[in-house]
Amino acid sequence: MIRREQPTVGANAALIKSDGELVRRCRAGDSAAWEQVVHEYSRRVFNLAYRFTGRHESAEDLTQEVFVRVYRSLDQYDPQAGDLANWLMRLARNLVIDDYRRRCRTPTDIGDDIGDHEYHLESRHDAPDRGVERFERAKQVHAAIAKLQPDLRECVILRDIEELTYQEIVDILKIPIGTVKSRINRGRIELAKILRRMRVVETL
Amino acid sequence: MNCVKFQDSLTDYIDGALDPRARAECAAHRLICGECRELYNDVRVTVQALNAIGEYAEPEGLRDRIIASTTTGEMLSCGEFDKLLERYFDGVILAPTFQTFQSHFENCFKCRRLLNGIEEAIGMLQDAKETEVDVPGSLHDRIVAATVGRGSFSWIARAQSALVNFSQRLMSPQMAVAAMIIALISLLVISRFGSVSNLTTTAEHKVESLVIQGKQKVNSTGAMARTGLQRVSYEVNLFLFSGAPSGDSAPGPPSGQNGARPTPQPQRNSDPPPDPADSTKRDKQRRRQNQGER
Repeated sequence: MIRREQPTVGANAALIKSDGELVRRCRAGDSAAWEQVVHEYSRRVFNLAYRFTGRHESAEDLTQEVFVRVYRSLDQYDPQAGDLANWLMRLARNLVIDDYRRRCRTPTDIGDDIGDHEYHLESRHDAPDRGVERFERAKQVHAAIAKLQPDLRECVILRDIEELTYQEIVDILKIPIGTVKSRINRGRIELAKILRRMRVVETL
Repeated sequence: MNCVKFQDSLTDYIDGALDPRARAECAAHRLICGECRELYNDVRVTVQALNAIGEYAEPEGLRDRIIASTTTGEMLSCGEFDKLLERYFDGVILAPTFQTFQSHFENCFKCRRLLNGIEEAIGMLQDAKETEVDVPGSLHDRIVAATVGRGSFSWIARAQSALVNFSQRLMSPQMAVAAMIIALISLLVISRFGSVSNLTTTAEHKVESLVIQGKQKVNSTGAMARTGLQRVSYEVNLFLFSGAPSGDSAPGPPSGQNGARPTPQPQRNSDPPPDPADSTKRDKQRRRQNQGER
């Protein structure tokens, strides 16, 4: 199917071709192609998962689950409908939010172990350009996010971290745009208050 | 503008999405209200912090884990897993296929649940096969009442117990087999004769013709027996009355029989001719015998 689409050479033919070719080779069982996809997107997916789970192990498991689903859904990727990154991240977001909502319905100790894994994550922190101070702040912000009530949390994460548009959030969460807007507003205010209580805001 | 209204439009205010008039109102409120000014600053900083939040490096080994779980296990789709299930339970999956099968099982929650469910069901069936259901306590009494103690029971109770017995018999495997055999036979019959009524009419015809044939047979044998007897008695008479004229050797039956007749011999001699039918039959028989000899 994808092979048939390749002769259409357009303005962004190079991009279409590379994504389409990559996916086609993945589907043909080319492990190098699939490894390339995993290397390219695993960090983004892991971070997305971590933001919603707030737990290191859960995020890891969820990331694996997402890639398994991505791998299985590769035949649904249409290179002409958009680039692989958009398609893959959209799928990942949907899966992560599904998982998030499932967990919210059956409450566990979400976010309780953020502190437990702070050191864990810090020790793996491999970006030399990022200052330790900044990393500390990010950690505190994550901890604050974990304290938000679930419906506000998902909206704030999607808007201010994932930086999606309102419409994209509406499409993912399947709630009216007015609700999305008010949740983002309330979420931001709540988060600011939490950070203030944590005496983080002053240092930001 | 009050604090509630200001807070409601805070996001739009920060994002610059308000129309100029609303923005001016918010700016004015921010100047007047210290609390809202503080909140505004906090939220702005918070949003900036959120926007600037960095990405963590994914844990070591995660990529390898993903690749391992996808290239081996997920090569096998759930549909292919389903197809292999039967072979798995038969124990005939080849080693390389089994590896992907197993890997898919480990990675796919749905298929794991499916396989475990099937295994559970098989176990339950086995249990069901090995355990017998206890006979209800009242069953014995019911059987006795339905068979021996018929008189003492009201007809309702008898009907009830009969119904229960019948339904219980229906449940038994023997009954099932019998029912199947009956169904099969009736199917065969229907396919042979078109319908049951056809069968009965043909059967009636068969029976009728059989009865007619039987009657004919009986008649003919009866006639044969009669002529045979007549011949025998004729021979006996001939022997008695011609071979031994004074006749003391067998005085019993002939004398008793012919007691009313004082002179039986001449009459006996004239006896055979009066039955022409018999004679013709005898002739036929003789002819047949001759034919047989020839």
